[in-house]
Amino acid sequence: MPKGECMSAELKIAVDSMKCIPCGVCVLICPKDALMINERGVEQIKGCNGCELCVKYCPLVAIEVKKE
Amino acid sequence: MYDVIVVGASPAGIMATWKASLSGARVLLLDRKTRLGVDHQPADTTFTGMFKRTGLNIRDEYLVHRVRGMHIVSPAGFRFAINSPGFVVDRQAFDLYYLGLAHDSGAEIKAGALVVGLENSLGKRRVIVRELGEKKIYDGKIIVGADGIESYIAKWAGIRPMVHPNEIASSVQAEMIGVENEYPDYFQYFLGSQVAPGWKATVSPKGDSKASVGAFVRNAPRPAIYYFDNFVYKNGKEKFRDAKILKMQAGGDPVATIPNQTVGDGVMVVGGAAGQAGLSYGMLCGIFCGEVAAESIEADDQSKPFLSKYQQRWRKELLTEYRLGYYMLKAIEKMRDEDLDSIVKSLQDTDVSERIPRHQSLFGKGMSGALLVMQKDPRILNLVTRILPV
Repeated sequence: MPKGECMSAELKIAVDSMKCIPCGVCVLICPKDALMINERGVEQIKGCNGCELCVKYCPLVAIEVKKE
Repeated sequence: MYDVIVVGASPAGIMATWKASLSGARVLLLDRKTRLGVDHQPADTTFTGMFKRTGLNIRDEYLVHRVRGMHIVSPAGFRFAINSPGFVVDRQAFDLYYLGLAHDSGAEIKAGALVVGLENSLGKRRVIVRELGEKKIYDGKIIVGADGIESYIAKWAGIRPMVHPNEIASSVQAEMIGVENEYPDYFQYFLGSQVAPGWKATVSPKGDSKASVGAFVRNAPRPAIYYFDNFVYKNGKEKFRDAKILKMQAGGDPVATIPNQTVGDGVMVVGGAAGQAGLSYGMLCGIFCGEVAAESIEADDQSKPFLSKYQQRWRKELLTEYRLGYYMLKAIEKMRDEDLDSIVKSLQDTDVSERIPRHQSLFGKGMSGALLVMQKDPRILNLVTRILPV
């Protein structure tokens, strides 16, 4: 993990696969590039800073940010 | 070794593939979906004038319905018409038709191919692909990212394709049947802070009782699905009383993000990936991209300065319109519902289209419309000075 990233509170981006299309808005808006679309839908690939922009921009309310 | 590898079978990606391949380049088109043409983004309407700029003809294979123009509807229900012919396409048939052309031109097309990495080594680019569960590697001289607003090709290449990514519009759209539509010959755009803050709710007729119904919002206090539900189940009780949803879609529309940087060494981004909003405009940019890709192969030069020809072409053709679109939406965002009502009311008895030059682009029409409003109701000047974006 690069210097300066916070280890103490691991945040998990939970995507509800029943709701997610996936349209890619969360991937675009994430300032940490923490999300990516793969064969199964949207997946978290990096640490999250908890800004919740993905939650705000998701058209279908399919994302939650949770503390592990 | 391919000349050009296009990632994403969006209309822009398909156009780039087709044009590059027609000019003799060896082109590979990859898409992560296992079935091409389905689960596409919601864009299925366009204006004829915009589409004609691509040089393509509208084909019966995908044409669903033609309209005479659009109605702008204010929060209190005032409306005015702008006559500018448009049409609705069956996006699956549309994508498959142009994929067919790309295929016939000699391009190779692979579905179910998810690109998971981009590498750069002397004079060539390499994409790492998971293809139906297997790892594959393809080398190309040029990589074209047509992989949608979420573009990872842009991220990997260090390209920042949008000026204002946070201005992306979130949308929920549904194809509905049983819609009671009083205006089957017009797209209807409903404005207002309750209906769709930051942009519009739409009813796009698709012939008979079918319509695409959507809510597109920007910087809104609630998610797009909230405004969609409100529009269909609360405000639109009569129109949608017997309507059923056939298909739900959601997405991000880069209508106000303004395209920015679209080229790097051996890499170009196009369409949604580049913030090039609009079905026709995305395709036009795809055509420019494919042409420049072919020229670059011919000249054996894939450097960023050479590929910048693509950037110059789309900027010359479309950047002003994208900027005007941004300013218009920033203005709408600042208007109160009363302001929208008074503007639309002042126009409702005017045949706006008669007073707006036919040849103009949509945004040109918008600007002429705005001037017309000011002539009719000088008080609106005050409003304009208040809402002008800084």
